[in-house]
Amino acid sequence: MATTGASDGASAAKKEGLVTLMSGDGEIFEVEAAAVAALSVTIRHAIEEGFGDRPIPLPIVGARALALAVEYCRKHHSLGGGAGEDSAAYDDELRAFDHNLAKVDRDTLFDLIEAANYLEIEGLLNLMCRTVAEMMKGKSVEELRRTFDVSNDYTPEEEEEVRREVSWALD
Amino acid sequence: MASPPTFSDFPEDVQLNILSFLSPLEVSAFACTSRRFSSLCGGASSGTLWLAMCHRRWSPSSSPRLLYRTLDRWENLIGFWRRVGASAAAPALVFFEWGASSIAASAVSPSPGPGSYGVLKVPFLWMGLSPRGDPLCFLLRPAGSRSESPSEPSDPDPIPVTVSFMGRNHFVVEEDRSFDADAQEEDSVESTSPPDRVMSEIYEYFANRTSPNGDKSFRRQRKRERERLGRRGRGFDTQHFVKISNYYPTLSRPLQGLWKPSEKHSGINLLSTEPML
Repeated sequence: MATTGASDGASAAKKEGLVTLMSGDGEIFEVEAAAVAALSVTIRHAIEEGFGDRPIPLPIVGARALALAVEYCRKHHSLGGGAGEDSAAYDDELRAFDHNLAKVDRDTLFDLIEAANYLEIEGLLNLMCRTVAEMMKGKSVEELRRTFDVSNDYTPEEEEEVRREVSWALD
Repeated sequence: MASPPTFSDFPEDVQLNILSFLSPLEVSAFACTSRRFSSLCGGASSGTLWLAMCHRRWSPSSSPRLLYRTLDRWENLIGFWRRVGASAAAPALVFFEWGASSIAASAVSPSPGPGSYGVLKVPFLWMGLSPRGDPLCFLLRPAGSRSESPSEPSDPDPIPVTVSFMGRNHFVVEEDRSFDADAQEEDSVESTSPPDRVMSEIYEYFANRTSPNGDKSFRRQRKRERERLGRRGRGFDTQHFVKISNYYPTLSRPLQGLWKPSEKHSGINLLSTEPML
């Protein structure tokens, strides 16, 4: 697991093969460089640019989402060799892991999408986007607005018009 | 960080990523929620969304490199091949061409119309990648069902096969024995839409194969299964084909190409300078 704690990164003795990540809310994670660099394009670039010996700041990623993203990288790196969902290496264990990860509550889910997008972890982003899409299926327009905090900016006439246009699809 | 993001906070490409998992119907419902999302789904970016939806649904693999390599390996198939050996069930002449992210083969026969120069192409084999990136081949028109009901559309049960090469100019089509893992998996995932009759029998057969019985009972089982399939005219014999290298007329060989016998005879011939086997 990630060692979260009071280490300030600079004074901590650097261990071989580790990289330090700092979440937007200031938590420090020491993680295996190989695992996160294999899955996250952003961190790979940061390491290539010489961030390897000081904490990599990730301003828009919260600690909770970062911990989950790191766990995702670690699991997929050790089991799938960083391969995507479509590869043959994607076995049942990874499937089960992803399945469980997708069961997070809605706020965590949305945080994870932002984190995966920022960290450029394609597999995690797709997994979470698909999970949101599953939440959209079978919902009425009103339910969609409620679930996804969409404010209705149509005038009543406009809304009538739009609904008429797509009524074939909504019935 | 204080308040979690909402759907509207996501960058447009993330929103489109999410919508790409939906059907057009579900996208329409979402487009009705607000002016902004209506333009996201139907406006200037709708092309991007449709493209993403196509990709989600039909992209054979997230690995174009794998697709390229697989199809590249099969490139030599493109062109005419003729049957060799006694398997009368196999078409005498097949033609391979590129499909969308796949290679497709058709059985070629003369068009029935008298005096016509046309040929009849019946889908025979499909070769591509499974969603998980494994090479996948299906026999689309199982032998035996050809002459029974010519009026019916050619939509018989596909048989998973392997296509293996013996050198560059000879390939063998065999029933795919390793299909059991995939079949069982699909069976359990898609339990709400059971596969059609023959496929489920194939699944059943392969499922039984994993029982801890000895090799003998497995073979007996297989024989029984073969007889059962055979009775219904769906038996599958290994089929051999060899390549016909020169099938276009050239200046020096103007007679090279497809020839159809006069009305009294049936069949089709391909005249080539290659030795006919």
